[in-house]
Amino acid sequence: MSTASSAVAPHQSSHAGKYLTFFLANEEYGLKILTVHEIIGMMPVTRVPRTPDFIRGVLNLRGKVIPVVDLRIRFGMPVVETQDVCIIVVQVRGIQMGIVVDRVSEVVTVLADAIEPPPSFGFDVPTDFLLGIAKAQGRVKMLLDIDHVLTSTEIVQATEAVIDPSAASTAA
Amino acid sequence: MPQPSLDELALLLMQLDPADDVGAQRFSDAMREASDTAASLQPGSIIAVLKCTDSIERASAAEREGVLAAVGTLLEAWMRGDALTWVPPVPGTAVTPAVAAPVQAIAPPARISEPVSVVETLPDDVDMDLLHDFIAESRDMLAGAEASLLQLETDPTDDEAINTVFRAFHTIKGTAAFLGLSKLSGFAHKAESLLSQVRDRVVVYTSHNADLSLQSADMLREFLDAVDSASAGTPVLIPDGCGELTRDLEAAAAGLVTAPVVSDQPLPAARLGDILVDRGVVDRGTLEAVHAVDPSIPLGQALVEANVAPLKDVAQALRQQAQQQKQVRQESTGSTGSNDSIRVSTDRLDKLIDMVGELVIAQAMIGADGIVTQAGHQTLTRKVSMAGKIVRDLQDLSMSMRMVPLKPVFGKLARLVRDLSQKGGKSVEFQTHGEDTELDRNMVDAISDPLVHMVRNSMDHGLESPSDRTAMGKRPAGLLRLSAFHAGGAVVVELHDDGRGLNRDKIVAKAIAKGLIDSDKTLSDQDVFALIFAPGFSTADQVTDISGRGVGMDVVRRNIESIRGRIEISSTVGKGTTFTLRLPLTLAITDGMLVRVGQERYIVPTTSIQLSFRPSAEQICTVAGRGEMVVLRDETLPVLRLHRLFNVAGACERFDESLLMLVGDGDKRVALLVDDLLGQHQVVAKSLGQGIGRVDGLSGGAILGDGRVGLILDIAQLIQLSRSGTVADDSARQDRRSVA
Repeated sequence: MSTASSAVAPHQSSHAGKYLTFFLANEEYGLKILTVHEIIGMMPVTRVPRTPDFIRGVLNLRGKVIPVVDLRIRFGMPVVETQDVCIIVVQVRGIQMGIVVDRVSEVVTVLADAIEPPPSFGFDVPTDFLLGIAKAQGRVKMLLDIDHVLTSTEIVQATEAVIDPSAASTAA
Repeated sequence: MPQPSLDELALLLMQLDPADDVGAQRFSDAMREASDTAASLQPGSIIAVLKCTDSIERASAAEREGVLAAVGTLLEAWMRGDALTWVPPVPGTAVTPAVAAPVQAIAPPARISEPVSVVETLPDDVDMDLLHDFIAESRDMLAGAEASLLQLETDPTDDEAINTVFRAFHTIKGTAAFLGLSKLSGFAHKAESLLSQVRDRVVVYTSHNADLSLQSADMLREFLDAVDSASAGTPVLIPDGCGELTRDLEAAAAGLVTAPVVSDQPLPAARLGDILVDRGVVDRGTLEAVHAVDPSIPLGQALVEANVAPLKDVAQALRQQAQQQKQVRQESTGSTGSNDSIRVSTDRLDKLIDMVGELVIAQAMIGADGIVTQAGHQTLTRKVSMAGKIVRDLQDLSMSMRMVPLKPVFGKLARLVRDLSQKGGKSVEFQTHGEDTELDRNMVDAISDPLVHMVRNSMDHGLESPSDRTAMGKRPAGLLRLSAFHAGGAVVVELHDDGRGLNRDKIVAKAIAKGLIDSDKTLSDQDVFALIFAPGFSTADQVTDISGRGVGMDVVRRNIESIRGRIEISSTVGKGTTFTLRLPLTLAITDGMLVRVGQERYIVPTTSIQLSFRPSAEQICTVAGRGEMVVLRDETLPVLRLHRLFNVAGACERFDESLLMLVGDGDKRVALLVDDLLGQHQVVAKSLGQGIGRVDGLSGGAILGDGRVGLILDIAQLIQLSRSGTVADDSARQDRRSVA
């Protein structure tokens, strides 16, 4: 387990642990298992107007309304609805959100020394939403910084643009 | 008085000021009482206690310091269960450290020799859960105590009311001592002592004592607030004026304050003279003349003797008065029966309500399933409908769990009226009806402040001074009636005063001066009265301590509207004013019209819809080829295409195939273009989730009958959006997105 890897830099070692992996196109991504709340099949999502397009909309999770983010759109990939498409409900800093992925794969344990820092591709491919890249069971898995994916500057800007100062007073 | 425990004795000792003769006397009484009932004491020990109490009483103020230290040693031994001996201090010597040490061991920091000390520290090991329960419970008890104190105003001999207050203070004292809040428990003790004296008929419950008791309740509440805001380690600030009030309480309990013994007439029952005047038996002038001849003769007797009123009428009036008094008493005591209840956090309650809501939808989905509705499954259909009935009952029950009676709010207002009437020199009869009417808890909180404002307003502007009232032939005591009842699916709260009423001319003059209106030609009385809700409007001739600063009624209206309520005024000059609040039963449920735009569905709150219609081609005109207007009954209104604003694909764009919905109010009205109306629904409004934040034009979402989420429109924001031309911005953002 991760205790064997005390020599590795703390940055990487803190990312060791169990990950839920899923596919987007042919790429395999990993989500820290502790952020995953549950996995649900695809269900009707209500589009919310005037929000960034990577927000698919909102769905009814047993009486609770939660937003759903489409990771394909978020990462600028073409939208293709596969048969195994499903929604992973994550909880980040107390906020529940659904993320749409092509297919859920498995739960793997990633050792600290199997994690490498994300490579840099230059301007074209943003990699700042990755915690690192891990090799496990002979495959490469990209470990997602889900907090960063969901609350990056883009979404903050989007919500800021939407908020109108005078609207707050009418709602109060 | 209940038996003081040793802990309480120790506490009393700590707080005893050596110079306080009365306190010392009380302490020795308490000690004697404790020794009477303590089963474990040896005869020798009892004698020691008696000797001890003797020396406390005999000691002069100067000697007492030493005596008290010795008492501390004795108490400590008592607590340990040792045999007691009384070692009197050598008269005249100062306290030797050796003797003083045990006292400090019992309670290191807390000796109050100064009447006011500023802080008290929570013990380090205090159980925070216990503390919070204590605070919540004590607040409830204080609310109950306050109601009883007000009851005592009308009937100072009501033992049950005194007991209620006494019990509240006593419980707070006991628990506070247990939690180590010595200052709080000490103060509660002082408040309690006064009442115990009243109960034992040692002290008369004068209006001065009533004031003190009410102030004590306030003080205890402040104490609780202070404790609430302090956490373990941080000091609790002792509220201002605590020392002063403590001294007043002590003096009152000792019966030293004999001064203002106001004749405590039962207030709310009408006076005999008033009844007779109301019945037209005598006029006020004659009445007063007769009464003035010899005020010592009861009025009824005087009237009959003077031959101004027939005996029969006077007797009837007397009976009526007696009945009223009885009624008042019954009304006030009738509902004191305590309900069994437990405390549940609102979070858990909300979750339960959410889940029940979900259950209702799941059940509805089963009911609509093809297999169930198919003919030939009669038993299944019956079972499903039975389950459906249970689920609906469950939903009703879960909704009712958030409902609380208005009683605490009414109680608070009764207190306010009492305080204001003393301050403003107006005597006011405050009647409440329907205080058991229930409302959603959040709503009760939300209307509390507006009601306080309205009551202040009525007291200050509405009701005249007693002399003015007498001059107008009214009873000198003003009437303020607060009632709550259900009407047409809403809860109505009415505040009526029989004061001077709203003066139309004065309001109009003021409104013109303020530039709110040009003339009142076209305005109905209703419209004119509504002007007092305009910001900065006040017709009070002078600003008083109570109200009239011109902020107020506009805030009241905003608060009421924010909980989707309405406020109305009706008023007759010289007769009085009635404010009517109409409130929805609960905040959680929105009455909405489901509309279709393209393949999407939105919910429009019914309160903002005025009418909907299918326009004909000649009703539509355009400005600059793009801005569309609709002409309706000589009015032109801008058309807001929802599909354009929200970028909905596949929506109907032709006017003759879609519907226009007139929404908004006042000058902020638009005609909303939608495809179709799908029917009226009651929905539970929910936020869209923190992850998405606020979205312009939407106030939230709701789960629809088919389990999908429907979005609720925020009409005011929508209109703002359409005006600010953000439609263009929006498309610009779309462009930016497609680039990114």
